[in-house]
Amino acid sequence: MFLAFKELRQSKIRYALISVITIAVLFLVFFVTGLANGLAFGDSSSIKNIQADYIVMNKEADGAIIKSDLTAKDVEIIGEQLGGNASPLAITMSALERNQVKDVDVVYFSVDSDKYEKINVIEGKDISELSVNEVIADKSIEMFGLKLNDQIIDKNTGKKLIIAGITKDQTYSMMPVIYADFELGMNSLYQNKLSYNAVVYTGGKTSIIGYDIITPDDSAKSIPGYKETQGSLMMIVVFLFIISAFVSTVFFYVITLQKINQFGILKAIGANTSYIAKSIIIQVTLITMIGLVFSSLFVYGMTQVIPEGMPFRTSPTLVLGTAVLFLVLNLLGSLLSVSKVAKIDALEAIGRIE
Amino acid sequence: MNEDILILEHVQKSFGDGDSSITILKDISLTIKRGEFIAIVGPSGSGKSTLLSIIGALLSPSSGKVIVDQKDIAEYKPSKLSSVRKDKIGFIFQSSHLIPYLNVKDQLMLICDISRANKKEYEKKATDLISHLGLSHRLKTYPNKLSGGEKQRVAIARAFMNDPDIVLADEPTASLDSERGKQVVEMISNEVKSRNKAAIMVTHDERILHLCDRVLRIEDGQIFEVV
Repeated sequence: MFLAFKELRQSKIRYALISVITIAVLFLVFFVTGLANGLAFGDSSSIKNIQADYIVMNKEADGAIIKSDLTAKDVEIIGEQLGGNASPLAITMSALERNQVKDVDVVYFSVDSDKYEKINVIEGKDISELSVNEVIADKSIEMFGLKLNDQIIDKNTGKKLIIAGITKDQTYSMMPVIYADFELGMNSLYQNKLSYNAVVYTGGKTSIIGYDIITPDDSAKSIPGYKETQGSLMMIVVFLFIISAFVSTVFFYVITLQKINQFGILKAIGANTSYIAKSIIIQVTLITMIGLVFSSLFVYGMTQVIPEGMPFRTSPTLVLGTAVLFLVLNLLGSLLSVSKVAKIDALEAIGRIE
Repeated sequence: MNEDILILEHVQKSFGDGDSSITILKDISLTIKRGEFIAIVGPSGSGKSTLLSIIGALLSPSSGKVIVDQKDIAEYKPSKLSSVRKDKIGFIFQSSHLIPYLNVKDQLMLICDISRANKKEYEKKATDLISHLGLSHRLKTYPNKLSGGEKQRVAIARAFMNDPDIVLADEPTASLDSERGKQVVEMISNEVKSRNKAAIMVTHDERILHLCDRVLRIEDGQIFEVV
């Protein structure tokens, strides 16, 4: 403690510089992880939050609901096999017409409102309580100035609908999801016959010949483009981690090399390797902590000013997990310096051996 | 209390291995009592510093015994040697070797931190030593603002901080002019006498030898008493 802090106080510029680098890199790490998280959430939250244990779809879809196409006959066959707890699901993109302002793109999730499980509504009616022309919309629709009990006009059908309930965490491809009953006919917007994407049900895993059955979480990963987006963002994050661990390791290693003589003196007057190592590790930890605190403050500050629609989403667990991983990497890096210290020979360092 | 604080018996040190080995010290025996201040002189390459390093628990001899305060440290492992240095030995290096980012007082308190000793007790000790060596006005000064003589005095104070049995000084006057050099050696001598320690100084400086109790000369790896 003694050495570590006295030195930090004396070499302010040096350690301030490395702190700034750490803060900047960490800020980027937090930002990109938040972005990856936000994008993943915006793309797939509605699929992850489908109120069912399993989704049945056709084999050609490869797990992506949107690519699956079931006819009324398919739905009937599946329904017979599953019994009572199954509801068909149809996903259709559309838009809401608004006066003077740009239309709002939305996604309809048409379900059988009698059979679909309760949705977590935060305001208004749940799915089973809807009357004719009533729908439940995701909270993100409020960004467009729409709220509970507002009337909305579907652009394709011209139908006037009432937002009777507000739910949350239901977005698909960054668009708010609107839950509607099949009665409204949103599932046949583009075709004249009834068409469905999948059947969802609550209960144990079964198998039906000719169809795929997967969980909502697995289906979310199969959303076209989901893996690619997440993969590239993940790569950025991994590289940022590696870069920052290297920066910190190299910085402390170079400083250690510079101080070999000093450490030699310390060893000569009786300090052992662990005493010196402790001082290095305290410094690494301290600098990393400073970086973590400031960068998370900055990220927090940024979340207060970014536009609401920006797909940025972070959570204490995510920040904490990132922080711990970062600290562990930096401490691993500091072992390089420690191993150097262990090899320092007091005699050589003093430079007085004949 | 045993009067013989340091005993070397047939100490031999060679470097290298097999055919190319060079013997630096051949059969060195000597005894030093508490309160004695000894100078070791000799031409360069004669093994003075090697001898000092062996006494200072920085090097282990190839053979022979090194008895510090009744314990033979010749066979000690490096980790045990470092605790001998911590508890029994005080070093004064050729060019003071102070830690650049510590002020005068912290240079001494560092010893307290390394030995995990009582802070209060050591603070008192540090202030006493500093005032004894006439550096009270420099308590909060950093090494880059100290003169050569002042640095060396801090180094002396540091060497005495752990209350060592033996103080080793390696050319303590090398970087000082003769007047300052004499002062520094007098200070070492005073501290040694007043605290009843033993001190060994390696030096080239003939002008300060009269301040020592005994002068030993090393030549070709062997030691002689200079009368």
